[in-house]
Amino acid sequence: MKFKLNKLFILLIFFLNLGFRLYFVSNTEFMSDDFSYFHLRNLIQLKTTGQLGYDSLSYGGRDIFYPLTYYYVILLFSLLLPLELIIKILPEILISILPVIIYLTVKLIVRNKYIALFSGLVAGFLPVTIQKTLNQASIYSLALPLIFLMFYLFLEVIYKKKNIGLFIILSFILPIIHPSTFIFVLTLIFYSILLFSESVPIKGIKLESILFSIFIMLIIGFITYNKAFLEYGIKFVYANSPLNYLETFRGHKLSDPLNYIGIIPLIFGSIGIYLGIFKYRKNSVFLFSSLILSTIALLLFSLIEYDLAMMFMGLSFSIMAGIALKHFFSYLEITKFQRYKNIIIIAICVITFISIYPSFGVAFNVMDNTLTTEEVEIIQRMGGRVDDDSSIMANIEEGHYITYFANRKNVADTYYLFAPDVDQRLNDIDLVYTSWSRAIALNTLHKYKVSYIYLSERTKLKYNIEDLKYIEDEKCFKKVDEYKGNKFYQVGC
Amino acid sequence: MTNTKGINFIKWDANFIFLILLIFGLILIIISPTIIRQLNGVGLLGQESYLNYRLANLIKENRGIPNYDDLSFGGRYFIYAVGWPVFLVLFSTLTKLSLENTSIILPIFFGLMNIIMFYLILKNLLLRRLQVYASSFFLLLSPAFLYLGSASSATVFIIFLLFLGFYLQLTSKPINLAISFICFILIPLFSYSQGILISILLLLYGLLINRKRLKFLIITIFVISLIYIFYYINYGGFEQIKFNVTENFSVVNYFAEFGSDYGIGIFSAFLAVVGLIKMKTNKLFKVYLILLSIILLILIKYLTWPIFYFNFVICILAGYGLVVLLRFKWESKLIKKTTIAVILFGTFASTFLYISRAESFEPNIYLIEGMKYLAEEGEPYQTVFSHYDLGYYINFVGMRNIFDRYFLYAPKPNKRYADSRAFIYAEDLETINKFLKDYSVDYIFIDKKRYNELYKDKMVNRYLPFYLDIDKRFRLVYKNEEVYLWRVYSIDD
Repeated sequence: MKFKLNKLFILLIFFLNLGFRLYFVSNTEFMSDDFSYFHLRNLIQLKTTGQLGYDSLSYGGRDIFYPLTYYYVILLFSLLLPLELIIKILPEILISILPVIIYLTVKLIVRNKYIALFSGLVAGFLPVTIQKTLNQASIYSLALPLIFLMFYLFLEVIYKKKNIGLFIILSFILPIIHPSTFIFVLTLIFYSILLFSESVPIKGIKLESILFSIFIMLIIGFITYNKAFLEYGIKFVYANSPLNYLETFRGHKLSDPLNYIGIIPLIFGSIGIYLGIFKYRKNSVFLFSSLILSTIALLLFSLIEYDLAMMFMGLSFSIMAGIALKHFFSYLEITKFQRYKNIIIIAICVITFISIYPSFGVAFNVMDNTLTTEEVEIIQRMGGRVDDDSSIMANIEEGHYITYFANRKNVADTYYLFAPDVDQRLNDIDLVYTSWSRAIALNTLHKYKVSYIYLSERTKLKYNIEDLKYIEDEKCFKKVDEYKGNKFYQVGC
Repeated sequence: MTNTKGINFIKWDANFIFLILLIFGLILIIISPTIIRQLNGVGLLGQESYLNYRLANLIKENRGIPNYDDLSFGGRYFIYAVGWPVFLVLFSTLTKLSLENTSIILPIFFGLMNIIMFYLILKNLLLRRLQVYASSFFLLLSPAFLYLGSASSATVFIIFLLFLGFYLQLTSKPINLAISFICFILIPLFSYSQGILISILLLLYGLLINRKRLKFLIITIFVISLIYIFYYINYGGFEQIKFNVTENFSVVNYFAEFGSDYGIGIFSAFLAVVGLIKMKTNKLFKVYLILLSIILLILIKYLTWPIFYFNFVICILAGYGLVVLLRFKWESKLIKKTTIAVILFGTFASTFLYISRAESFEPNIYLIEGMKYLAEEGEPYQTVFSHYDLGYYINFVGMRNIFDRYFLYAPKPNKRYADSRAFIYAEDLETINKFLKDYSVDYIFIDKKRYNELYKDKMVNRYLPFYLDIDKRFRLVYKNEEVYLWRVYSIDD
């Protein structure tokens, strides 16, 4: 019976999450971020040519290097269903496994499936995870579950000496998924330092598994990304990101973690860290505290995107929250409040569901920002107009829309690795949208052989403009298409 | 009575076959890069091979050491460490082999001798048999060692002299000591800078490890110093170079896996770290290796040859590291087996990948084709401007360079460097004209690698490439995937 209940919980968490996600995904035929279309184009290229190499449209033509494992997983499933459908559904299925892994991890640590269920639910509805993965072909849909599965297996190995084989296999796979998986290595390094500072012995299988995974992941990682390493040297960790994008805290408030992670995981998670480190000196708490520490360290050095950092922190806090609850109930047992235990449980359930509520808001917000059919149509129409080798100027967050829907060259997009003159191009794009000078704008547009400028509602919002400031000269800038504020200008001079 | 003689015979026979197979394997691995290059028609490996070939040819034609070199630096006194070119000439004369074949055979032969000497020295230092085998194994499969056995450079012979001298001084026989002494004092004739390093190395050895030989070593170093004093009296001082020759050097150049032509192996490096950490038996030996590594790591930043010496240190430590891993009491046999399998497989795979890249090592087919064109179209003693890294190749085809990598005793290296920088980054015709006139440049020869190094992160169209495009005095006469050659016409033409 117990066994069955456990399985039921796993299924419940998985389907609750998947159902939530599929509900939103089914509302639109498009994906909610531009980067998904980068993946889609790569997948199509990989499927037709068998390799990724040169992209003739992005940045007017550039080399593409991207880890292929994720693509192979998608292509494997695309044998069963059309690629356009698989790319929408598969990431949702993969990310829905994440709360199950959190459930198993917390269950392993606190040995209480109800508390584990609580953590699983909280993790599944973290606002930041929904914002960054809902209706998106994000690689994090695969990377995040695998990273946390690796943590789970690590704990299994050191607690029960079980699943060593799987842990070894994952150590090989993880580094070829995405560079973000290196956070596991960094976490183990911080973990060792923390244990050492607390005089907790590191020996036996714990030492072996730490050293093994660090060694394997670094070696495979360096071999996988050696092209980037060769090109950028040690700066490859920045993936050629533009300088102003590296300022991770830019545009973020101190209260943001509250919105990104949610109040319940933050409060309970913090209590969990305190109890785990200072009172019970638990291995697992040291491990997930190390994950938080390494995320903070990466953030401080601008080596990780803010949103991704929040995802790691939010998921760690969800696990810690489970530990806090466990100790809370243990403490309750020895107090007079024990008789109100059921009321307290109900209260926590209510709080849990309340804490899930903001995720709906985030999900609706994500869907509101998704491309509309009309937007796609106007971009496609424009693609038909361009009949030469020229480019279309769009704001950098819409670069992939141009290459995918219009099938035309863009000036820049959000994939920076091996892209030429990223900083220069970003400055030039800003200049075109914000400049008052027709001469400066024309000079910049000629530099990139731009024949059309796309001014969308998103671009207006981004640059806080109503229109281009130099369009009075109709000879040079002729409006050729418009739909609901999204416009295309032809560069005539 | 059993026939023990028969058993011994079988044993000996098996050992003999093993030895034959081992030697065959050794030869096969060492000659592989050379064979691959010869089969693909890319000739000798590395810049130095071309310098040594040319110098040997000059000595052969001149029937002695000439006084003047007409080609290098537009003409300079023949002050080179002529040991290796002379050796090439002698060997070629004795065996009737062509200089080219001699340049191929001798490095392979001395590469083989080096590994045998390395094995004998380690065996003599009473290291564990397994460690001796492991270190020799890592050396044989190390990219730096394979490069050493494929390029016609004095370093391979200097290391042989060093090892032979070192091995002989381990014994007490006076004759051996005498030969050892001769080996050591010959070294400065082959390379000025390596002679200094080896003197330091021997002094440290005498001070830290073998006090019994300190007297002998001091006498040896004294005689080596006398040779340097003789050089100084004969040739005078030289102009110290004030620019960084390895300005584009980065950490990736240390490792062959990251694309370096002669880096160390990443797996050996990992094992070497393990070996260094766990080395407890001989503290002074450890201190010696650490000191040596520090010196070499500093030198690698400025010179190319120290990496070959560093590779030997790495291989000694890697052998020890492997023994440590094998003897370590692992709690998980699976992790142990996987770790060792990954290291061994990785070492093999990395070596085979390295060998398969041999064709693309410098000079690659494009550079060779470019050189051939230059040799056919240009007239002897015409001046070709290029990066100093390509200077030896220009001289090889019988033309003058502005400068090359042999800065020692070269005429005005700093001025030439400064002038060439001014020319490369010239923003006006005046600077260009002045340079062309001062150095009577007939051709400009550049390859993609150096072009990218020079103009990386720079607005190319501000500098020389802009003028090469638009000025009619420059005509692009040859171009392939990597090499560009411009003919420079005078203003009157």
